Formats: sequence, structure tokens, C-alpha cells
Amino acid sequence: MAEVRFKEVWKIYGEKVEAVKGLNLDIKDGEFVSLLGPSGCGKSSTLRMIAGLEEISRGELYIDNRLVNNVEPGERDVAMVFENYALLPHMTVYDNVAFPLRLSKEDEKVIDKKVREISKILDLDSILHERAASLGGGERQRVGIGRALIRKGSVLLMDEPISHLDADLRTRTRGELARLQKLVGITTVYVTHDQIEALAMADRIAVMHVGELQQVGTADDLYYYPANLFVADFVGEPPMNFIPCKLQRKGKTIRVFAEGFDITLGESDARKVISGFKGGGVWFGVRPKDVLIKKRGNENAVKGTVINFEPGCEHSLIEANIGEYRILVQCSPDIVLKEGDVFYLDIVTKKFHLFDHESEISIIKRNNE
Amino acid sequence: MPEGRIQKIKSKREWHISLILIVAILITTFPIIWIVITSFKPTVLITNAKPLWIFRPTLEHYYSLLMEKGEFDFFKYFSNSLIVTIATTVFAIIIAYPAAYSLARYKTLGDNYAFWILTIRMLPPVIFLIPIAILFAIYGLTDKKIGLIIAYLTFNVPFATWIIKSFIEDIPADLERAAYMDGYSQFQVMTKIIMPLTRSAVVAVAIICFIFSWNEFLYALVISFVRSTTMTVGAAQFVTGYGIRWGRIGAAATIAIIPTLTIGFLGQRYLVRGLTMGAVKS
Repeated sequence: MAEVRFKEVWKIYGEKVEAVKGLNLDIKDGEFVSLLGPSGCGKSSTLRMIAGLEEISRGELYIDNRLVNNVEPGERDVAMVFENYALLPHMTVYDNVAFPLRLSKEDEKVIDKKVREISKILDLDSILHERAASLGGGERQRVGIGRALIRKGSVLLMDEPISHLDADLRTRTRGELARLQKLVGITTVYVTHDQIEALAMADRIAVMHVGELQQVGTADDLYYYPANLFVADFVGEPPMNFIPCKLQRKGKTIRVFAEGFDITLGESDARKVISGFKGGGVWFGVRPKDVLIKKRGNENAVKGTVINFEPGCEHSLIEANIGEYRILVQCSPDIVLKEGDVFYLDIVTKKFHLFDHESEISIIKRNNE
Repeated sequence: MPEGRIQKIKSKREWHISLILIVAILITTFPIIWIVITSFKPTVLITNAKPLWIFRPTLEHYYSLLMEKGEFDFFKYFSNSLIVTIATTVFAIIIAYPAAYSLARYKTLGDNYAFWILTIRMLPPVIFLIPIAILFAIYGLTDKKIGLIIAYLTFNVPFATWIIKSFIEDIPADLERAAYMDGYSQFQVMTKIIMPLTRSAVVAVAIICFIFSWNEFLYALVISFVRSTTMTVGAAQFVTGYGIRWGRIGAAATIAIIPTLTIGFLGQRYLVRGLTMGAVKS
């Protein structure tokens, strides 16, 4: 079991492509950390650097307090589950799982014991003697994991291991993987582009975008206190609404306004904004489910016109115009509206977010500030 | 009732296709069949005005070929062919395999270099004939089996490299990466993972190299004279100033066909895979 520490790590391909820029990240012993982000954000490059399959261009990488920049993959005591599982098609499941051990020429009886142990945990007993080429997606994935775990390494790396499975199998496997990790207790780094997966499985999530780490935190941290516009947009489904506005301090209150609405944040709400921010352009953010539909005339109610109404069983989705801005509202299925209807929204009371317009960084205080 | 009609239509189509195939086979194999028949025909009947299909077969040509020394030393020619062909095939694969691996996985010297290798084999071998003949004369490689082997490798190695390279490229690189993480070395990865997975490619390449080398005539004719003559050139000796000794040619050809036929037959499964590889992307 081991910690993984990145100190100002860069990955540069050729001389120009900066896939990972100045990454600083500490992964604790036994932790399940997910590297989350869209394609090309640098998460796979980061994972491969831990594996030793990619060279580290700049900076230092420590595994278990040992500098591993120049250590061969085979010497790092790291195991990896590849996106397509990397099974040897002509060999049986047994031989695939035993493959890593065959190198060290261990006694066949010892190998057998270890294989059967893993097979029990991963429910491979029934397919142990099938050829890998004839297995289905879910089975292959389990074999891939078995092969990775058999050497009892210090760190387990997973590169989008469930993205090629059917949706329902994916949901089931998510839970099983999380359980397995807790059972084995191995430090795990899990790459995915699916935020639902990351939020469901990981202890902490590291969100990356164009090579830069955007935020590291628990699912709650990312969801309720996104550090910047990118994280706020990426995490959460349906995505957060963003309205460009101006922020003006008025004594102990704050005025947030744009074409079509003018809101005053009372003292307690105004206190949520960091004192360092004096005023100026901001992005106002509110999640579709945090928008409340009100009767008219409420203070701070914003007038909206329905553009599209999508009824649903669990909730309905309304596309509405506030002034010249389009937002999405998620409401209870009891509410029924139609195109052209005018209604009133409270976009502040439940939960709102504010970001500096230029830097896109959150200007909301974190929980403990 | 509907089922019966569908059955009938299906077999009608098959019948048409079978007929076309049979005709095609007959046309392409006719020369071979004729030569084999000729090898058992008494000389007198071979040059008959009307082609004869029914006659009393004789073994005189075979006897003459195998027993009588003199100009046609059958065993020397056959063994030369065999030695040169087997050596070429074996060396071609030994040289080509690591080269193919290096080109496929490490893109050694770039894509242009790999393509250049392919183009060597695309050119008609006759282009290199005169330069090679002159070079061999200078370096004393004429009329030696090793010279012929080297000449044949010039064409077989690029071909083998290219085919094996394509096969290796079809294998997902993650298989090797996983092995690296388990601690396997580059060489072990090549031998324990890639080689088992490219078996059919290697067999197909071996068969094609064998056939090419065995049948090669032009270089054998120019580079070898007396000591290293192969079956192909040897058989051509029966085209003499006094007439063409068809019976002897027939016997020589018939015997010469046997090794390639056997190998082709035994390895046909690999041939199909080897030649159609890359045609359809899975």
C-alpha cells in the first residue's frame, strides 16, 4: 500500500504538446482517487506516468516516498487495468490471471493458490478454463482486474475500465469495484470522463482540464463548492446555468444585475461572497434543480418566459428565457407549463454560485472560511 | 412448401457457382495436368499431331532422370534447390521478424523507411539482375549456393518484414504494456506475447518465401552455372539444340512440383489468413 505524490509534474509530447502542466497532487495510502475530465485533459497521461509507461518531462513523482521518475514500470510495484483489458486472447482465463506470476518462475502450486484466491473474489471460477477470446465484456473486465490484483502491488491504476460495458452492467460494476477496493484496501487511481462514475466511486476526485488540475475534493466539495466555472459546468447533470452579470456592493448587501433581472442579495447571502471581491463582471451560476418556481411578486423573483416544456416522470425540464439569457429549470412533475407561459423564478434562495468573469474562479467562500 | 422452394433456389445458385469454379480450376491447372501426363508418355507419342489422352504409361523419363548421370544430375539439382530454398526461408524470417517488430512498435526510422522497404519488393526482380550479377562476380559469389541465398533474401526479407509488420500492428499495444508492467523485458514481450499471436503470419510468409525461392529461374540462371544450379535451371537444360526433350522436362517438373504442393496443401489454412490480413478491419 502506498502514497502517490506529484510535485510540479509536466508531460510534454514532442516539444510542444503540453499534456500535463505543473501537476501537484497527493494521493493517500488506501485512497480511491478518480482523475476526471473530458478527452484530452491529461488524465490518461497522468495515469501512465504513474505506471511508468510515459516518461515524466519535468517534476517529481513519488510512490511510497520513493522517487520513481526513472524506475522501470516492472519495478514500481504498480498494477494496471487497461481500457480494453489487454488479455491474451489465445490463453485461458487461468493463464491470463497467472501470467504476471509466471515471470518470476514461482512454484506452480503457489501460483495456483493465488489464482484461485483471486478467482473466488472476482467470481471467475466458472470461466477459469475458457479462452479469453470467447468472453463477454463484463467477464473480460473481471479477468483484467484479476490479472492486475494478483501481484498484490502497492497501487492499482484503472484506465476507463467500464466505459465499454453496457449501461446497466456499468451501473452494477461501479458498486462492485468500489466495494472491492475497500475490501482489498489498495491505493487506487481511476481515470474516467464520466462524472457520475467518479462521484459515485471515489473518495476524492481530481478534475482536470487541458492539462491543468482544476480542483481536488470529495464529491460534495465539487458539487456544492466548485472552484471554477469549468468544474461547476462539468460536474452535475443537467449542467449548471450560467448568466453573465454585474456585481455591485451596496453596504452590507450585494446587487447582482443583468438585462432582464435585478437581484439584491441580503446580508447573509452577501456574506458568502469573498470580501476580496469588490465588484465587477461575474458569472452567476445556478443548477437547474436549485431554481424555485414562485408566485409573482416575490422579492428577488425573476420573470421568465417558457421556451420549451419537457414533461417527465421524476421531474420536468423547462427551458426558459430570463431577459436575454436562456436557462434550464428542473422542477417537480406536478408543474405543468407550456410554451409562451410567463412565470417567476427564485434563483437565489436554494443555492447560487458566483464566479469572477475574467478568471472564472469562484468568489464564494468555502465552508470553513 | 415455401421452405422447399427456397431450398431449390439456393442449390441452383450453388450449382452455377460450382460450375464456374470448376472451369476456372481446369483452366489454371491444365498446363500442370498436361505436363504430368506428358511425363508418363513415351517420347514417341508426345509429339503426336493429335493430343493423346489414352496411352500406355511409361517410367522411362523418370528412370533416365534419376538413374542416369551425365548432364542432368538430379540429386544435385534437387538438393541445391532444397538447400537454397529452405535457407532463404529460414533466414528471411529470422531477419525480418525483429525488423518488423521494430518498425511496427518503434516506428524505427519513420514511416517513409518502412514504405521504402515495401517498394523494394514491388519492383520486378529483373531490375536488380545486372547490378547483382556484376557485384557477385566481383565478390566471387557466383555459382555458389550462398550467393543465390543472398540474392533471394533481397526480395524475401522486405516482403516478410512488411507482412509480419502488418500483423504485429494489428495486435493491441496494451497487451505489451501490461506485460511491461508485470516486469517483462522487451525481448520477452516479443517472444512470449507477439510471436504466439503472429504464428499464422509467419507460416504464411514462410510458405510464400518457399514458393518464390523454389520457383525462381532468372537469378538462378544468371548467377549459378554448374555447382549451384537449381531444379528450375536444370530442367531447362532439356531444351537442347537437337530438340526439346519434353518427357524429361515433364518428369523434372512433376517431381519439382511435389514439395511446393505438399507445403501449400498442409499450410493452406495459414495462407488464406496471411494473404487476406488487413483486408477487413475488425
